[in-house]
Amino acid sequence: MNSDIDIPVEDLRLQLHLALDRIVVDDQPWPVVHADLRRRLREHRRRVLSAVAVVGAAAAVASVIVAVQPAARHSTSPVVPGTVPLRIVASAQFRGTTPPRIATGAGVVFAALWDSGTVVRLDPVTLQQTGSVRVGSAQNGPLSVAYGAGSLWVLNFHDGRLWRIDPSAMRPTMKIKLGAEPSQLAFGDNAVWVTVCCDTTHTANRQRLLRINPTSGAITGSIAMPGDGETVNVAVGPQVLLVSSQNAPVSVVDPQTLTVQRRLHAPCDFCDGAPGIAVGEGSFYVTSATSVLRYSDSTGKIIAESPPFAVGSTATPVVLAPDGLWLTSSDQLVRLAVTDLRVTDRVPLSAATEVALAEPSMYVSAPGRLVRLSREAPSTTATPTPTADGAGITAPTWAKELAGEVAIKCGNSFCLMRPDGTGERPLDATFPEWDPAWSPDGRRIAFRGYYGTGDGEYAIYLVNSDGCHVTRLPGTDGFATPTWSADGSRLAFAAGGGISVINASGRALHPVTTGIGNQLDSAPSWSATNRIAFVRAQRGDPRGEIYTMDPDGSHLAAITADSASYAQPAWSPDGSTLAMVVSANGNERIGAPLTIDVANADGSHRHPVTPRTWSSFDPTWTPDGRLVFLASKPAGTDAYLVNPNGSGLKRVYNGPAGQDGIEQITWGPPRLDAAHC
Amino acid sequence: LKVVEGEQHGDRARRDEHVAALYYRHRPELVRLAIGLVGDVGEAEEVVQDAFAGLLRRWSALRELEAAPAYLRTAVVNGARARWRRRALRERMIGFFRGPSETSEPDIAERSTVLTAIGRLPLRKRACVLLRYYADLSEAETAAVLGVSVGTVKSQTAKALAQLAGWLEAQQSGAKQ
Repeated sequence: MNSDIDIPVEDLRLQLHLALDRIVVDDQPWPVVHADLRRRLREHRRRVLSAVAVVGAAAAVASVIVAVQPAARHSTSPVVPGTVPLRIVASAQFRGTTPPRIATGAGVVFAALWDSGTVVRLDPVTLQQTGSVRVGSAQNGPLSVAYGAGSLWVLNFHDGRLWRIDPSAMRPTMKIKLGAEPSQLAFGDNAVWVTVCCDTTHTANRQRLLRINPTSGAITGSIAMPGDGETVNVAVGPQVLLVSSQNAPVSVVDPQTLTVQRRLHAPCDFCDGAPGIAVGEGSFYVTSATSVLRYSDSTGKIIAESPPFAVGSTATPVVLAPDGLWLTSSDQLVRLAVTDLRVTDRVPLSAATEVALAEPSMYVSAPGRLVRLSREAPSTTATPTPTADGAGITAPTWAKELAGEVAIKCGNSFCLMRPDGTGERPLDATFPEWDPAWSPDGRRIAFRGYYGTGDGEYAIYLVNSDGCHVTRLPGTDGFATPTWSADGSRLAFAAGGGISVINASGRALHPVTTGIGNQLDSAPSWSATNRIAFVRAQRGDPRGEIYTMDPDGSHLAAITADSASYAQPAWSPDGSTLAMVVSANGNERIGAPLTIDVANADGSHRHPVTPRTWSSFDPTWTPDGRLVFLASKPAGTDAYLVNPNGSGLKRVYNGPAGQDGIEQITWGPPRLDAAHC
Repeated sequence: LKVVEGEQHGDRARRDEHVAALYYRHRPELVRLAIGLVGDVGEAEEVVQDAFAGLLRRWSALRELEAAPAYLRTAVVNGARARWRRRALRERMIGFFRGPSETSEPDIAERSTVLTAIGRLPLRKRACVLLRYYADLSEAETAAVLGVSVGTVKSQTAKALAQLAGWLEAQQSGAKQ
């Protein structure tokens, strides 16, 4: 970049106005606009209420909500040296994408499922369902659950009442009218605590906290709470109650007299939710926009603040556990020391929302699923549920016969797993991650990872397959689709219209094809016979052709040459066969008809192996020479397996329910256990 | 207007009147700002609509009505930032044939050299340029909208201008050849 060149700012100003002011922005009548804004408010309310946790201080369970503003995301170290890392040992999958609300008690786990309108009881080890109760309809039912006084408590948005449920029979034993729209629920100090808002009789103080006798169901107290009623959190501690609301100070409430003893001002203007709160260790913990603050419970003064903390943009819950303060963010669990609030542990976990603790397990909800984490040794843990893994996909039992290891998109990261879905661990090295490529020995993965939040702010990264030792290859900003040489010593990738090669050590980056002029090269695949296949297109022409070349760019050979468009070449493990995506009419969009063809290395004997009406893409080979690919259909994108002669076509993975399906998949060699970080 | 202090929290009709007035006065400029940020009319309108919904939601936190436009600009920039994940997915879905860097040029940007160049800047630099030279905000106002220091605005803007100048000059010299 030549920084000596100046641009006349007045000229820029003029050009910007010329370009933007000519765009016609249509107005709509206010009633239409207002209805749309109200719809967005309702959607926001539903999303926040169904995503955040409320505190129950019973037994070892305590939780908190953390609300934070967007911040930069940093890569994580998955384990703390010298400790046994927390890892996923069981998981359950649910309909829809709303994270389940969770509560623990009576030796079991309860999950409130907004998307199906039910509350289910789960085995605490396997997370298999052992009972359920319907409390409403799909996306109009349980807002929140808590356990206390031998009962399960469910805040029901459907009828606006608090339900008391017998946890053994999973049947309601009482439905308590609340008189206003409910928002949050907690159990503690032998009472049920519910916040309500928007009661027309309380226009000046819209939001109220209700104390409910768990035996009689009577409302025994009520107090007005500041805040606009959008989101609210309640944390119950010994003889003290914290209530936080969006855009309002945190109230410290005496649970007996229902009087406000103190207000804590947290710097959280325009936070996207109520500040997170927790009580314990002689302290109140409150989240600000970018950190966690610790207040003395006797003076109300701030006595510690965590380092600036990069967490997600939505409300993020926290558990005050015996070993520290656990926060979830969109892609990791973080533990803070309760005294000085330094970070003491990080566990990669995609899209985590709520956390509940019941020693020795930690239960974490995420969109459409619930997982159990534990530090138990593998030999003593339950077998992970094979049909409901963290990637949200469903694997058939015969998948265990398949060789190799799979990298499959889960959320914004990749999940690595055996073909039958077991042994899964998330690869949370950057955020998000795309284009994984297994090294030939299966110990490392190269991928395209984002280092910033802007378009194109990504580079090529290397990481061990256990998630350790993330390194960014220098000079690879904006590069994509890495592929390994057969000996694992070098990588090639698409680099600004050309193909470049670099040593795996990060040295000797050099272009092989340059992308000069109208030529655009992309999607390289490096064969076991040391040939690189890639796509070559001309600027302005949507069609691509497949070429092969030696790694130094010599011996260029055209593999395809006709009116169709070709993409995503993928060499078979022995380098004798090349798979590729074909668009007969040149419409290269996923969703349009795309077949996967297989040909000899010189392009001869090319034939389709997938149905012509399907939209098939992302071909990848198993170690024993079978093809796996993705097929996009109206119901979602699933993964299929087929032999290179077109026989044996069958589905291998269903995409996660309620989502668009699997977004990317790459098969690799069998797993080799690497040493921990 | 002396707002919001003194108004009853429950006075929704009054709040809605204020928001309606703000909507018709500021929406066109905000949509165009958002187009500059996200490069797509549909996405820009969504970002702006979400910003107004957020204003309704957080009305009681506004100290004075004059603060509303600044809040809306901040919400638009934040909304644009929140869209980057979706953009990453779109790059993948549309662009797998050509690699991500060669695809998904925004629809508006295709018709404007300067917007194409702006669209190549990282979001913060893009926001600095648009807020300074399209929304005509001062450095201090831009810093407040972005939640960064004035020094950051200065340096980001200077770097952005240098990059823009380089790209635009290269494009012009290419066009002459």
